[in-house]
Amino acid sequence: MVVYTNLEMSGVDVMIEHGKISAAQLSIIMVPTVLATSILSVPSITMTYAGQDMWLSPIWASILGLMSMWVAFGLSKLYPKSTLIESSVLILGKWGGKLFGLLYLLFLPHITGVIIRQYGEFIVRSALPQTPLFAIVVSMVLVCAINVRSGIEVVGRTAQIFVAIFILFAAFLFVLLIRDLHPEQILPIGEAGLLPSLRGSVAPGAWFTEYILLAFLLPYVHDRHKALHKSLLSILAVTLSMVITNFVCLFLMGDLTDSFQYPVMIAARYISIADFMQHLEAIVIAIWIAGIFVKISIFIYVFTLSTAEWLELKAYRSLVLPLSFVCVIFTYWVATSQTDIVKLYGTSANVYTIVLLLVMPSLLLLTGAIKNKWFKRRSA
Amino acid sequence: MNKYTLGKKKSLSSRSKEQNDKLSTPLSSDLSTNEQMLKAEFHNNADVTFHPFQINHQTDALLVYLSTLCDTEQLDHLVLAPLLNRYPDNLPVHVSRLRNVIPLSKTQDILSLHQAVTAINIGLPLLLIDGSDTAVSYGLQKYEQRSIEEPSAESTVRGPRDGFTESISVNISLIRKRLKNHKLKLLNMEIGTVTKTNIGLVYLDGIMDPAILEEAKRRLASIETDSILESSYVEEWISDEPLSPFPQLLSTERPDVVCANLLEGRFAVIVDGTPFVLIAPINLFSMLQSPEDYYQHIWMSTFVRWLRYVFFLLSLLLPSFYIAITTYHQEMIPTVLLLSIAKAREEIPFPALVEALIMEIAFEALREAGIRLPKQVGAAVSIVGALIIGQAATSAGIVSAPMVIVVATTGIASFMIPRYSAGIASRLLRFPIMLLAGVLGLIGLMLGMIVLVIHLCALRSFGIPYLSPLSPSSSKLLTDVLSRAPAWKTNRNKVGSTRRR
Repeated sequence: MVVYTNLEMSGVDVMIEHGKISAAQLSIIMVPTVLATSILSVPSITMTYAGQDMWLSPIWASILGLMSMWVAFGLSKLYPKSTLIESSVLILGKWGGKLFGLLYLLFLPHITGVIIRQYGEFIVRSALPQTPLFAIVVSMVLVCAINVRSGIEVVGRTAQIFVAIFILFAAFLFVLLIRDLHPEQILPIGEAGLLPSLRGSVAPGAWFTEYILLAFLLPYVHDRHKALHKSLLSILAVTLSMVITNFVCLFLMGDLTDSFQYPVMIAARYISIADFMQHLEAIVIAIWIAGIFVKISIFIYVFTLSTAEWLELKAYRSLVLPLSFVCVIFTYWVATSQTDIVKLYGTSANVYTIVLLLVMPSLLLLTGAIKNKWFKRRSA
Repeated sequence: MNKYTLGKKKSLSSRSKEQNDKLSTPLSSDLSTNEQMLKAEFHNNADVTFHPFQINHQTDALLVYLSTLCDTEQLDHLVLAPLLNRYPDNLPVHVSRLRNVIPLSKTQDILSLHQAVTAINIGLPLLLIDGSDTAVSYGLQKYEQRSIEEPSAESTVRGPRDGFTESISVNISLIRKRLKNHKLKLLNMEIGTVTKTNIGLVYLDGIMDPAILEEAKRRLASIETDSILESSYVEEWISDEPLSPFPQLLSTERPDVVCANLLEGRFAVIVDGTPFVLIAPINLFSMLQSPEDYYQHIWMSTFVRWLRYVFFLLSLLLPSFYIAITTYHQEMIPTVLLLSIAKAREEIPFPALVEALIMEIAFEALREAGIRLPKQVGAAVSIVGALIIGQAATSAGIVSAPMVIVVATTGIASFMIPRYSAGIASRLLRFPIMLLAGVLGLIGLMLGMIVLVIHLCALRSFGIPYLSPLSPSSSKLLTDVLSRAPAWKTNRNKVGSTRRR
């Protein structure tokens, strides 16, 4: 027990991020972190498995989000001042912990690469067909790197502003679509039982496990007592957004939803205001960029911070640019083409992310809890 | 914050210190020695007058003053006349007795050569008496100054009409007149080793956050320069990020604006020699507010505020948006409009980006020419500009008519920003965003905006986040940003509340 507190104290001293965010900012950051990429491809995948019950899937999927969140808060209860990387060393010892951390140092650039690649492919396909992928990817990563270099406070504030724009605009978009919606598409509900919607929930569930990022960010929240409440609200907001998105796709396109790669973009094409404002896809993409910017930023931030913590450095800022470049390289390494990305999302990626973002941290929490109890019993 | 301790002009200040050491020699009791020392210091100064005379026909005395800064009429009347006519015959002449002879309350005993030189420099007449090592200075300086006029850079339809002048004492009296309270504090300091400019830090005790005040004092004290000629010199020294295009201190000519800001817990820096008073800490939204917002009807003010926010964005983004749409996203333009734009652009040899750059630069040049020229010529500039840019360039097929409309709208939008210094940011940042829009379309525009928001999120003014109360958010203060809060609901004294977040 004594050993623990000592280690924890030393963990406080080497805290490499001096800024703090509020619980509200933390919960706001998580919204685009889950939604930005899921809003693109998930409706189509869900439709494939769940059919007209697709709107139910996000609700099942949110259970995975709650589990991730529970694991993150459990770890943070054991070691309130440590991120996942630091607490793994405290739980598994120096060698075990570093090995566990290494796993994330390899996984984080990988998943960041996938996210950036998806962004790049989406932009090339839907907005700038003649612009090289490299230019699109590098410009975005550079902007995110500037954000991350400014520290968690700035990341939190930019997220606050862009999420407000993002949500306002998404709501506006859906309101404009009301004219074209056919609510009767929802019937029949549960035609083949709950199984299809459960199967459809795997993909959104994989996105929901990204809530484990809370384990990396919770030490930097200044009003911790509000964090649990706000995070629950955040999950609720994400679930609701997914359900609404799925409803809109279902009511608008029905069974055709799964034949489009980005159904929400198709939905944007339906918008027509007084026959004057038409073809608003470009604006929709521009607003969506605000969301994906928050997502990429937070992943690069967590990757950089984890690397600095793993190497026990005193500052992380100098790592931002080189590590962002590593993420760009991973962007090209993870897939050779758009079809690869789609294949990845439809098949192994979900299991991969669920294992690393939910199963492994759960095991870590379990070990930590058992160890803690054992020490307590011995000292008692 | 290191930059405040790293002196840029160390050599100069240390040199002046040596000089001060030489000057700090005490005055002698022998009048002719003193006279020689002063004459050596004021060598080649045509307006320094040495006036020797005798009191009671026995004691030698000397008056030294700058004839250009000293009120000689008063000097003759109040100092010289009593000494010559009314000095009691039976008493030996001594400095301590002068108080009973000369009817002036503003006096100061001068003990060293340095003090003597300083007093003469600021226009005080100096009286030296033989046999005494103490001299006396009298508060009889007289500066030429302009009377209080209506501020030309910030005019309002309704509201007070008096503006600051170049004199610091007049400016402070204008503030004191409005805030009749002993809690209104004034700290004086002298900055500039050569100009020795008088600078006043004004705040309201009890409302001002003490931590911000300490920071302000520390930054002002760390200024190491030889000259302060305008408050912008001070602004550059004490800004958090002097390289940011967004001003972190507000400059105003209006006493009512200063008072309103003092009441909200800000401090003001008054610099002698300029009517522009600095106010900090501020945020982005203080840049987009006009004093008149509080003098007119609530709904009107709210409407005007929103109009300003929209046009601020337009002045920043409209040309970029036009470039992005016409180059990359033509499908967004309604068909009829697209046809007319295409027809107008048909004979234009340049791509939209180049066209926009030409027009924007021409507009900025016209605007600059109009400001710097005398008023009579300024009118000619605008006529020529309107003819060339509006009419001739379009009919010659160099620029298209829609582009003229875009540039003109942008120009009007930038005139909507009530603070001149805030308009600078949108004028300068327009160009990089235009380039980004020309390269990546709306995505480039969005990336540019994101970088801008990152910068604004990271920016602070004396520790207060520049985007507060939006982010970090404070719903109480946000009321006065999204609308104009009614008088009974304004939340004064809240500037410091977002400091720690």
